[in-house]
This record gives sequence, C-alpha cells and structure tokens, in this order.
Amino acid sequence: MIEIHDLTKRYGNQLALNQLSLQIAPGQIFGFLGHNGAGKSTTLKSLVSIINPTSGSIIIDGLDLAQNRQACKEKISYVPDTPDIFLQLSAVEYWELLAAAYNQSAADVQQRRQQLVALFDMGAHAEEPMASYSHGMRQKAILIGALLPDPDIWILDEPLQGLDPQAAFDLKKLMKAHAAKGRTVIFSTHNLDTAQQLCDQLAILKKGELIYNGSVSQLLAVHPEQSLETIYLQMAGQAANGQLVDEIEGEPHE
Amino acid sequence: MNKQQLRALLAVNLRLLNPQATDRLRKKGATGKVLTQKLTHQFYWNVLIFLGIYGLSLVMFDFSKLPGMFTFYVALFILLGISQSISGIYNVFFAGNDLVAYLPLPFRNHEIFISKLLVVVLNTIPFTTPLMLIFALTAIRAHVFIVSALLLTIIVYALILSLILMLCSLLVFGLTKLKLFQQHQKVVMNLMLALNLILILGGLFFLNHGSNNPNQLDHAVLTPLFPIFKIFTVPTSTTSLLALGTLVGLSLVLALLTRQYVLAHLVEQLTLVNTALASTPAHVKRQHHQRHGLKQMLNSYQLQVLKEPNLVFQLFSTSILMPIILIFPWLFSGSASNFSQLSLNWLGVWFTVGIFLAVITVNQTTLVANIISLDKMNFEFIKALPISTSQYLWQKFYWGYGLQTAITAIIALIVALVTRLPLLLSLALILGVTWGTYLMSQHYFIRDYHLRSTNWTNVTQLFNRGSGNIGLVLGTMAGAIAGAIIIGIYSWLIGSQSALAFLINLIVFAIIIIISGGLLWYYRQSFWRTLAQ
Repeated sequence: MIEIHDLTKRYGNQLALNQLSLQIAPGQIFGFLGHNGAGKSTTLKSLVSIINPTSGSIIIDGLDLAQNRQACKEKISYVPDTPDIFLQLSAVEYWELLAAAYNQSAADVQQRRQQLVALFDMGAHAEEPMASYSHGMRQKAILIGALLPDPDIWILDEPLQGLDPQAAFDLKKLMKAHAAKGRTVIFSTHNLDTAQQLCDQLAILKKGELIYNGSVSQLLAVHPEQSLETIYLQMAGQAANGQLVDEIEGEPHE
Repeated sequence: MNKQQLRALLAVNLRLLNPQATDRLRKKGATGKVLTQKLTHQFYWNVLIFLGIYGLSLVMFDFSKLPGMFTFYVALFILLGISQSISGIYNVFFAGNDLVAYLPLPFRNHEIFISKLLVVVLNTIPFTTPLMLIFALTAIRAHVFIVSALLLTIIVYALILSLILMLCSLLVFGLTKLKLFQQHQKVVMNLMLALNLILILGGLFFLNHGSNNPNQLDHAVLTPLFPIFKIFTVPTSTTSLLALGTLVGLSLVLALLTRQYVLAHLVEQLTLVNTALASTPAHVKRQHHQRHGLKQMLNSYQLQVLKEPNLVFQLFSTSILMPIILIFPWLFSGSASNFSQLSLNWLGVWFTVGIFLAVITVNQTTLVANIISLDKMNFEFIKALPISTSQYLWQKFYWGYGLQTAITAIIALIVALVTRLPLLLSLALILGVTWGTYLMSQHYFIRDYHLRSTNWTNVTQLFNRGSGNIGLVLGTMAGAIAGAIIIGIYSWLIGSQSALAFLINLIVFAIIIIISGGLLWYYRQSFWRTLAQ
C-alpha cells in the first residue's frame, strides 16, 4: 500500500504540487493524467526519492519514505520521463548496474534478461553505447533495466512514449500481469485510450491540484453520454481552445 | 559495504571518467569485464607514462644535495594534484549530472560517494606519482636504509594525496554551501574551474620565476616544504618526526572536517546542486528582442549555442593552454628581449610570428574546430529547412573565427606589450594572427564538418576525433618547431642583410600570398562549392 499525505512541492514561488493526498492499493494499475506541468512527474519523482517534497509524507508498505529511503527504494523500480540517462554505457552495462543495485548477480537475472531482451528485440544492439540509440531503443533499454530486478512496485513515467506498437502492446500486457500478481504499477500518460485500457484507478491533476481520484468506470458512469476524452478535457482542459482552433484553421468549406 | 554494488558503481564511473578511451576500446570489441580491465590498465599506463616523462629528468638530480630543487618539484606535483582533484571532483560529482539517475536506485549514499571519490583518486594518482619517485630517490641518495626509504615514500605520498583530496573536497563542497553559490550555481562553478586554471598557471609562473636563483645550481628552498625534505634525508631528526606528525595530524583534522561537513549531508547537497545545475530556472523569462530577418535570428541562435559557459570555458582554455605553455615561460622569465628599437624592416617577421602564433593556438580542441558539432542534432534539422546550408555554415564559421581571433589577438597583444614592440610591428603581429587564424580556422572548421558528431555527451569526446591526442601534440609541436626555424632564418636574414630587407620581405610576402591563395582555392573547391551544389 502506498499512502501520500498532503504532498506539497514548491519551486521558488511556483507551486508544483498542492497538498496531494491519495492511496494506492496493491494489485492496482494506477494512472496519473494531466496536462504538461500538472504535477504528474513531480509526484512520481517524489515517490522515487529524486525530489524532496516541501511538505507532506509518503508511506510505502508502512514505511515512511523520508526515514527509510533505502528499504523503500528496494521495493521500487522506476522509468524516468526521458530515457537519456547513462548514455555512455551500453545497454548490457546499464542492466548489470541495475541488477547490482538490487543486489542481484548477473546470473540471478540472466534468464529474465534474455526473455526481456527477446521480447523487446534488443539483442542486436545491446553492447553498443546507448548514446547511439534512437529514442525508442533507449526507452526499451531503460524499460528492460527497470523490469529486470522485478520489485513489487513499478513506477513508470510516460513509459509508452517512443515505443513501437509491438513493444507498447507487450509492455501493457506486462503491466497487467504484474498487477494481477497482487503488485503495483503506477504510471503517467497523456494517452487517454491507454489510461482507459489499463487503469484500475485514476488521478487527474491540474496545475498541481488533484481534481479527480477514482476508477475510470466511475468517471464514465457519471457522464454516460460522453467519451473519456471529452470528460477529461472538460475537467482539465481550457474552455477557449475550441474557438481558437476554429480561428486558426477557419470554418470548413461547404 | 556491499562489494558487488561498489564494483558495479566503480565500473560505471571508470567509463564516465574516460569516455574517449571507452569509445575506442568498444570499437575494438571490448565489453563488460574486459572493458573494465582495459580501462584499469589504461590507468596503469598513465602512471607509467608520467613516470617515464618525468622520471628521466628526475633521476639526473641528486635531490639529497638539492633541497631547493626537491621543494620545487614537490610543490609542482602538489599543484598538479590539486588542479586534477578539483577538476576531477567537479567532473565526477557535478558535471556528470548523473546523480539524479542514481537516486531512485537502492544504492547507499556512502557507496555512491566512495565509488566516485575512488575515480577522482585514480584520476589524480598519475599526476602525483612522480612525487614517490622524488621521495624514494632522495632517501636512497641520502643513504637511508632502502626498506625504510620505500616505506617512508609510501606513507608520506599517501598522506599528501589524502590531504590534497580532502582539502579539495572541502573546498568544492564548501563552495556549494555558500549562499552566492546557491543563487548562481553555474557561474560560480565555472569561476571555480577558471580559478583552477589560473592557480596552476600562476603556480607554474611563481615556481619558475620567483624561486629561480641564476647564480646557483639549486632553486631557492620553499620553506614550508623543507621539513618534507628532512623526512627523506634525516628521517630520525626531530624536524622529520615533527613534520611526519604534522602531516598525520593535519590528515586527521581534515578527515574529521570532511566527515562532518561533506559526508553528513552529501546526497541532499548533491541533489540540490545537480538539480539546479541541470535545469534552467523554469520561470526566468528571456528578454524578447524583435529580430527582423533570418540572418539576425540565426545569429541570435549561434550566440545561444555559445552561451553554455562550461562548454565555452573548456574550449577556450584548451585554446590558450598551448601558447601559454610554449610562450609565457619565455615571456615572463626575464629572458624575453626588449624589441622597442626594432625598425619597420621587421614588419614581415612579426606578421609571420602572428601566423605561427595562430598555428599553435588553433587546433582540434578549439572552438572553431568543434562549432558545427556543438549544434548536435540541430544541424541535421537545419539542413532539412528551406535555408541555404552554405550560408548557415558561413555564418557559423565567422562566429567561430571571430571568437578564435579575439583569443589569439589578446595573447599577441600580451606578447607585444611585454616585449615593448613598436606600434606598427604590433599591428603586423595582430594582422598575422588574424590571417593565420583565418586559414587555420578554415581547415579545422571543414574537418569538424567531415568528422561531425551529433550524439556526443561530453565535449572532450569531440577533441579526440581523427588523430586524437597524439595527433594534437605532434601537430602543435611540428607547428612550433617549423615556426621557430622559419622565424629564426627570417630574423637572421633581416638582421644581417638590412640593405636587402625590403626585397626579403617582398619575397616572403609573395610566398605567404601564394600559399594562402592555394589553401583558400582548395577550401573553396573541395568544400564551400560542394555545399552550394
């Protein structure tokens, strides 16, 4: 169980996250939705100890994150919002580093690594430095690194970005299977179809504020005539945008 | 401590510290443990090379009878050690900016710190190893029992190395705690690197200039380091024991201070600094200037590319390093001549000096030789836009060339002022610099285009393209030697045949025009014209 209590993050005068509180139960796929700058990545980075919140607390399986960082980190693997990390290393070297971080030897994770490499079709380039990879390949390498140690909680910041359709499909299957084992997947996305397909619970953020926390089905049940996209845009979007689009492109010709 | 985690972290940091060597070894097929081993071997090689370079000259001295020389060399290598440590700590802890990637992983703080500090140690050891040679040679020549001599050497070297590292750690991490630093991180960091360069150059100047006594074989003794000399010549004397005790005491005090002020809040501090260094302040609005025309906008873009101070600092410092090493010791040693009485017959000579000053200043590590690659992927994108690549590159070239000329002209101006060169000869020198830099810049700019790299992560990777460091050193030395010979002959001719000075200058100018014309025609045909097609 992950509990977030009154989480607030300020960057100077800017309020990135304002008193966010929510709970994420095991066995769930929990999605964060919101426009750019809504506070999704700030929340995820706080969960993985990259950012120290200005105030508030995070409890992971009964442990206060601020007091038990090491123990909490061992329960979590993370995919950052951009895959441009450790570019000087080859993918294999990066995966070995990740295995060592979670106290697993190369032999321990060999079979799982082979399976993941085959699944994401990364065998041919695994020994090359990641600096030479395309965006999609870097994303796959980082994903394999995160899935390799197989901890209970996966925290994935826009994990599908840059993936080819096959890899995206396979990752979604892996996320579902992980949650089905009673474990937790937390991810952020801009893709509403993906959110609808995957999420058991959903948090919608707008300018650092939580504006919805519940299941997708509950949300759709309240607005039975509308699609998730329409509901989301009504909640998080900007009302004037429709008119602006018309002004930019003009009225369609008859 | 978890050995597996420490080994993995060390392997990663070794690669981060040696990006060029890592790339080169990878291309030869080295991966995993083999790559780590080869990178470690590279470290041993560096130690051997340094020992070889300095060892040959150090073995010649009987340091036991030359306390001044002993203290001079000890100071020199301590200076080099401090300089390497400061830049190492900066590169490994701050510039790498990789801490954010480590933070979510279950590594312990001290494992990350130790793995990074070990890499700084590995980086510093080659530059300070000659100290061991000096210590051992001094003790052996002073007839100290060989086992004691070696033991003392190892102990004192380890103490000095740890003192250097702890002092530099306190300095760099102490700096990050200042309010000024927190407000202007990037500026202060770059200032620190610049001061580091000044420290080493100033130190070299002071050692060369201040302590040299022309009437004696030995240098003047640097008093603060004299007790170390005593340790190796009379190890059982009270002075030696006191000196040893002081070194141990200082190490303990610095260790306690390091623990208290550096280690206690390391990760919080590094997170703060790395996050701040990595991100541009989100709400700092850049003043918007209304620019008309593509040329003006592209100029503004070129300026933004060059506004990354750390990058520009590295490119500029490599530009001035070589002339400073080759020219400044002569200039400030007191042996530099007073040229105030030279006549206009020497115009051509000083113009040629300017050309060769440009030859040794512009190389593969300077700004103009890397300016296209600084664009990274932007250049490929700009090629896809409906604008002329040729015009874009000319504009880029003039930025690089202009800045490069300014740097070399400043060096030339210093030369002119120190040697009291008459105004017209100074102008000839600066014109020579301007023309020489133009020709050299064309060569290195075109080289950058052909070898351009778009996916580099550390600017030093760009320096190693083509013939690498060996090519750089050989090229510069060849330029310097050729320059010395040509200018020597030219000066001799003007000095001895003053009646024919006009004719000699005319012939030299004709040769310069022919060579320059040939080069410019070649650059135009082989490069600029192909872009326009």
